[in-house]
Amino acid sequence: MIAWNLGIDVGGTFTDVVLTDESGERHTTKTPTTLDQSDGVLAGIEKVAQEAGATCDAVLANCGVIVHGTTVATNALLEYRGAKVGLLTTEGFRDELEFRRSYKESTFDPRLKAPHQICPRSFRLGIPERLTKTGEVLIPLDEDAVRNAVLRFREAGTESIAVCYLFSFVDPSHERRTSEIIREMAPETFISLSCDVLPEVREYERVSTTVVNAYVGPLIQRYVSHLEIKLRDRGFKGELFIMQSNGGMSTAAESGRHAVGTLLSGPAGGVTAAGWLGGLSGYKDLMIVDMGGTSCDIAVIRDLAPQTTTQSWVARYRIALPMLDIHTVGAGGGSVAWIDDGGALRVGPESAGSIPGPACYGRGGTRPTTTDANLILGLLNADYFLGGEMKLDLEAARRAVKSHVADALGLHVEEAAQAISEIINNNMANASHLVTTRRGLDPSGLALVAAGGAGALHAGRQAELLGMSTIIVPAAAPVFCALGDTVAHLKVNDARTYLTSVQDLDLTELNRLFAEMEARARERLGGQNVTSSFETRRSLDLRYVGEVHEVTIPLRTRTRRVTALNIEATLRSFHDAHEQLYSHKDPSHPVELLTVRIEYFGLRKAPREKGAEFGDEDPSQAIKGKRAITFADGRHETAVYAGEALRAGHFIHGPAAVESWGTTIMICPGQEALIDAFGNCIIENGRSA
Amino acid sequence: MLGSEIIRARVVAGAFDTAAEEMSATVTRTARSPIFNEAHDFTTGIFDFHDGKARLIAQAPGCTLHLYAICSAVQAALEAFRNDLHPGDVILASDPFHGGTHIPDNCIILPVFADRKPVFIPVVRAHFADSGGPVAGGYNPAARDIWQDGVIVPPLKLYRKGERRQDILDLIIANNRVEQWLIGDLAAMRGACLTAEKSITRLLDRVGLAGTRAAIEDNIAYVERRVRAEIESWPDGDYAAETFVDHDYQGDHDIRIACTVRVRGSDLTFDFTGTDPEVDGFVNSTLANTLSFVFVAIASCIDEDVTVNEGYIAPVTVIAPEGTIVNPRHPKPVGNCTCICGAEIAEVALLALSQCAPTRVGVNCHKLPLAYSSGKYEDGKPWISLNFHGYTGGAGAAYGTDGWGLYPPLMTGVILPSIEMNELQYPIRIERHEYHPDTEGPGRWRGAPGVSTRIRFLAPSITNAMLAGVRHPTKGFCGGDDGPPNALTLSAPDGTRSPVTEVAYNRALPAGSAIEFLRAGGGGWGPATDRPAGEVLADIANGCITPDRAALAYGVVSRSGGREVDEKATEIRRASMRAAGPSASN
Repeated sequence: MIAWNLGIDVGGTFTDVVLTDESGERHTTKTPTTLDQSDGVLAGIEKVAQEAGATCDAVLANCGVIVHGTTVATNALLEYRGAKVGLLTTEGFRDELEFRRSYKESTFDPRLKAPHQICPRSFRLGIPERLTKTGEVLIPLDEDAVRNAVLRFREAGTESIAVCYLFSFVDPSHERRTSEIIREMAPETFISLSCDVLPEVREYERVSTTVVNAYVGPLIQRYVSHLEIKLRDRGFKGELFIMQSNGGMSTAAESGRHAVGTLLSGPAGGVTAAGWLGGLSGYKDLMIVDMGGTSCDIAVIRDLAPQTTTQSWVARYRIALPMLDIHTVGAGGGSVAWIDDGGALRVGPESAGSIPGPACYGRGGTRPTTTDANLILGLLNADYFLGGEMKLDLEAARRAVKSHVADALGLHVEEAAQAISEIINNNMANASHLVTTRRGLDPSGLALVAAGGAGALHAGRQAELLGMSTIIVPAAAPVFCALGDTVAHLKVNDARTYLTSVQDLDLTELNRLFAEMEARARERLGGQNVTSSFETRRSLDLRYVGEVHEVTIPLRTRTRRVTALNIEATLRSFHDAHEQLYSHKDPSHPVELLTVRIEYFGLRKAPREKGAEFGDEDPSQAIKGKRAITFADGRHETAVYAGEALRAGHFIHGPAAVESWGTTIMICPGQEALIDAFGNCIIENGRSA
Repeated sequence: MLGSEIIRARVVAGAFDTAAEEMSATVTRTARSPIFNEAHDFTTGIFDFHDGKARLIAQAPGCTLHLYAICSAVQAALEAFRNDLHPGDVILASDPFHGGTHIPDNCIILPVFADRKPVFIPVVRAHFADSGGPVAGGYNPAARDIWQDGVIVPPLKLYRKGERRQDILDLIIANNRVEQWLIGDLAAMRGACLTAEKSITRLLDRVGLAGTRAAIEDNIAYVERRVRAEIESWPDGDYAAETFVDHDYQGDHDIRIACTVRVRGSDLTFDFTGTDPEVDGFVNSTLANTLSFVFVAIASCIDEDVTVNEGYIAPVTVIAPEGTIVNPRHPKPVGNCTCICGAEIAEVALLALSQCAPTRVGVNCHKLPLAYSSGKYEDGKPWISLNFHGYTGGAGAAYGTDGWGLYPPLMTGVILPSIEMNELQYPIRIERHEYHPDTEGPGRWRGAPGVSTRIRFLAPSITNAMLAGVRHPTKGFCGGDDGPPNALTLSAPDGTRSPVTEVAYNRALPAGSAIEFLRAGGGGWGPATDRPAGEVLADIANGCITPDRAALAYGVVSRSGGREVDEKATEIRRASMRAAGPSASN
């Protein structure tokens, strides 16, 4: 009997499915995303089962693990369709959520509107209680006030209550007692305590993350249990996991409790896939550029570890949990080119989307987009878009570029298209640069992984602009996120604030905190049978005394206990990391510890990969034609290869184009490409700028 | 332009904007004093330097109030070292009468060389936690000349050819109360400039100096076109406004600031003729400070995606007669100018602009109830707290939106420190920080409610408190109502409360004392009688206003505790309010 493993990613347009078996055989498919995402999921399983020559029921009956990337939480927050939330805060501080530490997205614009209030003021109530910074009770919890508040919330029909008191990260007992009272009075209520969601210093970050958890929690719980019932009905006996924003997967139950952790459930799969792919092909430091129709997601992997951040904003709400550091720029195939009132050519951030879409789609769009420019320059083939499923209208593209850009600037249509293309490439390169230099990294030391429908078209030029020497175009680029779902590990993050100068650090206390977090992490990953192999990674958030931003430094130990020597080594890493990030270090300056963190992994066995033998270097049998393509350095008569005819070991000199269903790869003049044993296209770039 | 020139202009603009952002990220994350790293009271910029003139290419504003002053301070510093710039030099400057604002705002300037000439100048301008002088924290309300404001740092070299000038640094340190912050902040600022140097060098390798300069010309011309396009859309005319400074903390009251905005095609002039003479107190505004606030007002009318560079400045003329409060002569004190009378300068400029660009301007004013405190930690080291939470509030309305959040939009680069982090770093406890009902400026779009804050000191402190915006609170625009007055109260450990009327100078507060701030809400935009009744009821439900105020200020008469509108009574009340004319409600 075959033991199947499914990865299912729900995107805006398509639901992608990857089915693997123990031998490493892989089947992939795409099906339209549905309003109730579980319908599309079932349809996808049905379709991929056919590809594998099995029935949906047979696949489900023998499927051990389904890992699912879902946008239920993301969409609920982005579209503000979450649960009705009540918030309890320390009396005198009910408006911190709305104050946002005074942060506004625009520096100068007085016309910028306030964010939609997911918990308006009438649903935020202050409770008399107060702890000092050391956890002493200054004002005891007023339990009657809690009861009155819960009564008010019940009357108002809240489904969900968030609780965030000052200094609850020092002592959570007031929040816990509040939770008990809520539970007694309103047992059906979804409860989100800040001491569970984010037990760390900084009240605004904590309250925002806790309220968002309360806002999306009921929806995720309903969706996951609804999907699970549907799967069980079709005979699924295995385990269902949900992809998390931290790049790992988690049990369905844990994902419901910690719903805020699923906000990047979708894109996280792609970053995870890139990390896995890097390990397979021998590249440890990567930049993933996933370019779709409306935007481009950029993420960095160092030493095979996807970089995370605690600085995220989603839908104008602050999420301070560790999430994959995915930076989004408004640069995609549908980005509109326009002339502003100063006469400058701009591309994006507005997108034509898929309806009406680029002018060349012939769906009524008349404004020129990146895709139109690419068609004019010959990067795209009018007769082979989505494998020929869709015909592109070159004349419409030329008309759009001419009337909106070329005429206004006094340029030829080709010149205007070239300018559009270069501007979008530079916009992406600048964003990528900022993403890396903010971390003190040099992009030229990274390999570029090109994913998404438009990624591989622009990656070659990107590499030149950023001085990067390697580009990897994955064979599974069209279903990259779902691929990541099939290879993800279980992962939970936890953290505790422990403010102390490093020289006064109490190792016993530190080890106690780590042990406590590990125990809780084990509990959170309880009830799964996928793995019994666990790994803890510890780290410390350190800063020079006086700084208010911390650097997270891995803490490496040989034993379970952290020793004084381990701390010394971590301190050395801190000074070096500080210099790398900020151009200065001061080893004589006292260092303080703020937060201790763990990443707790349940390691899944990696799927077996069947690499193909390298064959002949000469790819000429895969050439399906030639056409003129305009690259950054000018126009070249360019060989076009059929992607499906390329084999491991084939070696291609640029300029060249490789066309497959769903993706076209541009190999720029001077670049060289090799098809590796797993069907990935590895491009070497020797040029910069 | 050729296609390649269009591309080059965007490439160069993007590279400099990114470099300025990267500088800003470096300062935020590495500076030591909370005023930098949490409050973001700094700005980074990059200049090109050609024929002795420094021109702004890119800016990443943290605090917008440095917007223009960064330019004038750099120009003054470079003139001081004309023909004496070398690779590895780092210049420090804070002199208000060398292109500066007030003494706490310091610039670190680092020339970047190409072809053995200084060609680009990355700069960080930032507010230091202390600047010596008679009182800690840099705001001395008793100052009657510039030397009583603090220790003046004229342009000087902190590093010469890469070598730190320890004697100079020692002099600076000897005149500063918080050495441990000062050294870290200076290192962060220099680190940011070094980050920019790397980015600039990379760009020069790619595009070349000539190409980069040509692209900069294109980009400056481009920004000028965009700013001119906006000005041109306003009707030609003269638009006069006036406002008043409450007092100068030295007994001079109701000091007039007059401004006439002249729109002629795409040229814009701000003429401050008619403004009162300079005063003895520290509310005089240096010319650079006056220009900064004027440009902040302009920036609020220009689309946000227009890069602030030299082209932004070109269409604008400012006439600020010498010897007035908006252009004082040396050695008048100027220590408070970035608050008072900067606030009034922006207010009067916006009031004038509201007559020609009413849907662009936002009600903006930052007349703060200011109080800062200092003391000693248990280990004897000093602390200085600016009590940032007490200043928050006052976000005004604009066409299409109520005021929201903490600060008015133009101050929003300033990120408020975390309450918990503040309590961990200082011997203080913040007991309240919340919207206060019935303190908004009513309007079709209303100001945000005021914010009430109480900060208790767990150790003895010396506190200086200065009140503004009482005699002349934040004004409403386009028929909107003014905000109410600010309030500041000192409360003794036994609970005795003593309101500050104008100033409390170097007051020794025993442990257990508290300061209570009420920063009143922002002004309204448009007549309050035009605000839909449903929005007024929502304000009642949210506890922002009481039903009484709804009736009095908005003319919305309600029943059952503000849950229903009494349509008939509302109609009658609003009709009589409209007949009585604007602001009759207050």
